[in-house]
Amino acid sequence: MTDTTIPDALPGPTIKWIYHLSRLIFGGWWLYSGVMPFINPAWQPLGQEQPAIDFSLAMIASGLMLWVKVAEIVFGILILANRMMPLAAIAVVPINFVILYWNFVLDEGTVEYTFGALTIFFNAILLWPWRRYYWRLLTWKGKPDFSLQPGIQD
Amino acid sequence: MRWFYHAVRLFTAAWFLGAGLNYFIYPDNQRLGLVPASHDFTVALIDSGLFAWVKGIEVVLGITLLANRYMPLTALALVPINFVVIYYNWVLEPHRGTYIAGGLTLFCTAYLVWSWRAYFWPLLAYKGAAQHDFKPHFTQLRFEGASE
Repeated sequence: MTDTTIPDALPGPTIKWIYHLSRLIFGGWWLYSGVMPFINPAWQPLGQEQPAIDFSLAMIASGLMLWVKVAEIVFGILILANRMMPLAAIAVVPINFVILYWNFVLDEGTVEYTFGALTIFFNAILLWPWRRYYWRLLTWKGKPDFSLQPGIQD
Repeated sequence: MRWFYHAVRLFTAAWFLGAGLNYFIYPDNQRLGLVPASHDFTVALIDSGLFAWVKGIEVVLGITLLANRYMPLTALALVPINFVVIYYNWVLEPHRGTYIAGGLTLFCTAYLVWSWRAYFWPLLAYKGAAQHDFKPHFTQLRFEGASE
């Protein structure tokens, strides 16, 4: 009988290299996207379809796009440096949610769908190796700490 | 301080649940903003459809806050939403009432996150230890200084 159970890992450092390659691509993508609008404001893609254009312009006009770009730079650097990864990998999730929405709903097209799928793929690859740090967030009935002490307490 | 935590939790729950449900039940009641900056931003969010998602998430978080369940994840999820809420109140439509609303939002979010900080400290690991395999590694993360 053939063993069909899922292996604990792939042979050799395969998963590790998939992670590092994804990290470098995603981190570089974010750093580039974050820096370019400061160098050339006209670089920022507004989209091909009117809903995407209107949304992008509203984000820029409100000034919120500036904060998004700063976050892209900060987290792009952290991801490239492979530092503070538990925080970086989860902090990019809200921004990626909006990016996904933009690519799948507001500005539909093959390129957009591809970028949206890659966003999901890379974020998942970055989150998975740090999962031990996240399981506690799913605590159903935890124990809050009512004290003013900063340390970890049971 | 226990009662204060529950008071803040219930206040935030009522606020989120009310704001979230109000959009779906009375969409014409949705506050659009009194100045062009806030008005244009809100209208753009509504037209894009993203506002409905935000309101849906507010309802979900309002329920988890009310029930005091999944609180570590709830407190963390409050941060990005309330960042935009505070930005809206302090930058897009600044006046005395919105300064107070933004200040309350900041306080409630910060206090709830502080109350569950034990669950968040591991996220601040500088170098950490990644697990490059398929095992879930559900075992508790242990770190120096943790009390038994």
